[in-house]
Amino acid sequence: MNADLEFEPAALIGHAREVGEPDTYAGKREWTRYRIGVRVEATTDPTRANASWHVNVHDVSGGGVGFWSKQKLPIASTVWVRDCFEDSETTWLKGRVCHCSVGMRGHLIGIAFDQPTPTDSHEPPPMRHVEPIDEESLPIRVSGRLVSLQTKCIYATVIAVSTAIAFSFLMAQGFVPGLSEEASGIVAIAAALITGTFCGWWIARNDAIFLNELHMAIRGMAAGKLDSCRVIEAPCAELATIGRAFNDLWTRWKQREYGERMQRQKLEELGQIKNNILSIVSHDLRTPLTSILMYTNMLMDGGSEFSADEQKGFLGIINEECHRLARLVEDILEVQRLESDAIRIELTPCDLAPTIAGCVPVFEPLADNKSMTLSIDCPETLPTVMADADRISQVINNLVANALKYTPAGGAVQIAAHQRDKELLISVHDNGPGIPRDKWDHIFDRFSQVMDPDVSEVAGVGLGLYIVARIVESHGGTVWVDSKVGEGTAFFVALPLEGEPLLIPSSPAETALHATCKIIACDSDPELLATVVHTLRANGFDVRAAHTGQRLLQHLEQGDVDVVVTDILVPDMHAVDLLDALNGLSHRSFRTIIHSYEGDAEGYGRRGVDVFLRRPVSRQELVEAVHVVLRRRAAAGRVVIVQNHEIDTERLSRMLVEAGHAVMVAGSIGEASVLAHKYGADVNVVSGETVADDRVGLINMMRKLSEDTALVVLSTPQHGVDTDLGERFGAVVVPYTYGREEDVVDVIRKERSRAVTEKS
Amino acid sequence: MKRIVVCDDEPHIVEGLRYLLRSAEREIVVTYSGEEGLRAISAQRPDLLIVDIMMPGMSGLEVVSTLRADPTTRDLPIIILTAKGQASDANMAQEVWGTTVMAKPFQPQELRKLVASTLEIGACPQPESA
Repeated sequence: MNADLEFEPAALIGHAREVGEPDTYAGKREWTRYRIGVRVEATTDPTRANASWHVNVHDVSGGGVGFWSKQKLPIASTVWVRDCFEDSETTWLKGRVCHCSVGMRGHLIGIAFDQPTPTDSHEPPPMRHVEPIDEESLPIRVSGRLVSLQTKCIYATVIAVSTAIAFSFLMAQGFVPGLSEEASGIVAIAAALITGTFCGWWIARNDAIFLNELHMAIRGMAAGKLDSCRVIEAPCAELATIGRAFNDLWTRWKQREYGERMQRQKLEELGQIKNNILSIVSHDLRTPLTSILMYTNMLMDGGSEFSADEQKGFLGIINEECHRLARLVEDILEVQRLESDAIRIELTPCDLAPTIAGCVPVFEPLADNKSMTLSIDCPETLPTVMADADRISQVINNLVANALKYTPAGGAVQIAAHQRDKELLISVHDNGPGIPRDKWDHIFDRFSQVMDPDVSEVAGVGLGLYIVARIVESHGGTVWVDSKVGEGTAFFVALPLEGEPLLIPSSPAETALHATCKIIACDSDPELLATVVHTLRANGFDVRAAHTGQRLLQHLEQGDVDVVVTDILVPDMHAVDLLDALNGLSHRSFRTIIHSYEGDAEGYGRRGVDVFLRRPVSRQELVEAVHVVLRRRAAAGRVVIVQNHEIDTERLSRMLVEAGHAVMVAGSIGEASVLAHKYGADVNVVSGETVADDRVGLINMMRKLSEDTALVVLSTPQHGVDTDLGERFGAVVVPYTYGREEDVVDVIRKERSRAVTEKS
Repeated sequence: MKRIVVCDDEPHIVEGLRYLLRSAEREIVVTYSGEEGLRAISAQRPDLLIVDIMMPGMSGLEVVSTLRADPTTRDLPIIILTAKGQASDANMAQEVWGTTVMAKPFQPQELRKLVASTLEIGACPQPESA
């Protein structure tokens, strides 16, 4: 199919209207058809191999395509159509059969494409792995203005003919005395032949070398050796066209190979995690089994060797280890139930004091065994909360079991519960070894020990705290950890008494955006962080927690974050350093919400902060703040600038940020293409030098990777760009002089709104 | 009198081994961590060490490598117990340090036999293929 035509309903139909010929039957039916003769592949089941058939698109009507088929298809049945090229990037388009009639060439099938629903347009494009390719690595270099092959042939002919004329003239003048007229003619013809042959050979030499190298490159590609292609220079305009096409093909292969490599890598990582889980689960299963086997064996083999007391002790141990196994199995099943929502949590008004007190006797024998003190600090009655007492008892049991497990013999564990403001606060303290702050981020994750590469010692599968977090969250409560290495650890559970609803009402359009909005929350205070994370998560946002500024920056450097919600005081960085670091990140596509006791919105605004919230912050205010930044981001654009010495990138990006845009600066076109694609940029900005003739292939690639992104080309005094070139890439050309960024910002704003209108 | 040091963080396993391996001509020293195990070895000069791999703090492999680096304990016969799913670490220990590896859960009879033969020849019996 036409390489410039994107296989997408709107493009197909637009193309048909533009170039197709209207059908002579037009007017006899409600729709007009235009013949375009594009070859497509159609199928009634894209998951079945060999179920598709190739067809010529006969016409394109108001909402879809039509084609001839040997098969009759029932009206309203589903048909998928795609580009004939076997290309992984072409996806099946879903359509409904709206017309089927028998004609001379079989059945004429008309397919209407399903109209995308309005919410679809809000969804960010799916992440695809794209490798940055810079122009140096392209196998064929197309530089400058090249002479066409025809012109070169004309040169050779002109030289040969002029040589012949010159010789004839010289011979006629008697240049070689004594030669007859015939002989002179022969000499002139011979000279012309020799010169012509030489010129032809000399002119075609580069073309031959090029074709030979191209041949080698194609063979290399066929053998899967993409990197073995030598860089070759295209010698003439026609071969440059082939060269560009080859570069395109090469880039696609390369991207596909990269995608496959990334996928393999991901699978390997998943495999590694699976192995770790298996290894730890098997460790936790094998240890109690070893004890059980050993003691039962001793009882069976040499019962008489052991005294009655010893035998009783053995049975006790066997019993204990069986319980341990049962608990592990129960934990695994519990996680499975929690995740499949098979657990029903029955919230009834209850006083949790008896539940909390009831946990102590369960653990007393274990505490005594390790000579530990287990104490409780809880009034006889607690304010009523909406809770499932059995589940809360499970939470406390898990926390106490953990505390007893990790605290060395002779230590102390305390359970406490009391009312604090509008919540019931339950805590479990120990004076064990403590948990370093950088581990707090993952401690409530499933299989947290497996995910943490630093864990060298394994004490359990790490499901207990995950279960705790899930149960507490389903109560609308919050759970967090506070700890000091060497001093001890405290786990807190806060259950709301009543009042403030967790779910903040939002419009359906906003709610639809929540799940795709990635938020990183950071705070020095673990309780406030837990509250922020929990509030946002309960409202459907995708939230991750960072307990240190360094972790926050690590997350941001990996990209893929929409909103940062952070305390201005983080434990490991000064406020100014944190703001500088946030502003210094080159891929700034995120928005910042700062909450603090001090400061003013204006001051923070000057430092690139979108929203400032003064503490204390209610749940409502927090969710509203995220809505504000999301709306602001929707109103402003994401702009990618390709850095170049011709433009004042720093000043331009600062002005764009001030105008509300998110700006990313790329070092090369390759990088810009990747950024624009990955973050769904609205506008790409490049300078005149960047679009110089020899980079046409890369610009084309950029257009393909980010087709919805508007392209603004800055025509600089050093590298002027004429509007023709702009039209070729569908770009807007703006005159630019160093230091006059204002005009450009205005154009970018207009282009951005145009791009967004087109997208929707 | 032969002396065996047992080192595992699981009290039930340590206690069980003490019963399983006890006999009139053996003294069994039990320890619950790698550090404690090393101290016991340098103080008591045992004839055999039975050590678990996964222990909090110093792991069993660290204990073994420390012992092998010390000329006085270089030839101490060692039996490694492992409950890990993949036995790659343990296999390495077997190849590099000539220790014997027993995967948990093991057959108590087998361990008994292995301990008896090791104490008799004063070294870990090597696999036939080696």
